[in-house]
Amino acid sequence: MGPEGVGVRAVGVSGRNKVAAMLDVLTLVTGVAALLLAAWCGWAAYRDQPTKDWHFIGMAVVTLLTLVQLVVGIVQLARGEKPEQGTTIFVAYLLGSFACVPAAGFLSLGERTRWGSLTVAASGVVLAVLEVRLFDIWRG
Amino acid sequence: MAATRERTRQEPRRTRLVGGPGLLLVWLYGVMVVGAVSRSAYQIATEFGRAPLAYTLSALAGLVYGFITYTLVRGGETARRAALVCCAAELVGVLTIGTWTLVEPSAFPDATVWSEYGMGYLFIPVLLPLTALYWLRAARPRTAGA
Repeated sequence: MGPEGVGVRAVGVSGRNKVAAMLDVLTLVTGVAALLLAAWCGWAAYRDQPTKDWHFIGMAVVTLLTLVQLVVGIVQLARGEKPEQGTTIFVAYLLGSFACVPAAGFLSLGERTRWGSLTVAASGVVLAVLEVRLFDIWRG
Repeated sequence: MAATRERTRQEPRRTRLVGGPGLLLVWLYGVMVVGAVSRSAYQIATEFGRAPLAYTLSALAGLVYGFITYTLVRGGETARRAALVCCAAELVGVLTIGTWTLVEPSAFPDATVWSEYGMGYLFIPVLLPLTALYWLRAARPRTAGA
């Protein structure tokens, strides 16, 4: 949070910077992908359709992104980097964003109506919010 | 035959509350449970002295969310009524705490889940009980002749 910490962390050694930048890019990509998934499943709900195979492939892609993010985040911590707002919160949000979409996906398997699609769409929006929070937690 | 009769005697008794829009509600309540419980647990464990009132209220909110999620998943008329009462309490809680945080911010050095009507959570805390109350009333058993 302190203003003196921000500048130091922003200008680091090149190797560290690369992985740190990777995490930022991943956060952005995952957030955008989550919103796209939300729009797609929202569209399905609007047209009164349940989630279909293609939606599940979309969910798998988003989940894969969050998994990569989880791994990269843990690697960052193992390298001794410290998230601005604390390690515990950072890991909790990483795990939360990993579980978010699959949980809704499983629920939509049991609800073969538009409401299943809308639940997955909601999970996409929640994941996008989690990504914004993750960025804040990491960068301060 | 005996088995089927027993089944039919038990099953229709419980109104299913997680079908259709109820599924979305359960999912959102689940998110709020995770959010409120983990947040308050972390804050109470690490920095309780900073804002005891705010953290205690967050924990209370987490408990209420947990109970509502349980009743929704369980289903049935008793659970439906219990959920109705809790959702009403939740709405009163959000409105009270929301107003309280606006009128007297000094009482809250740190935010609660219900601060400013749940603005930090996309206003889900205030929208959720309204939607849930509507849904739970719509799920009234038909035989009651509503």
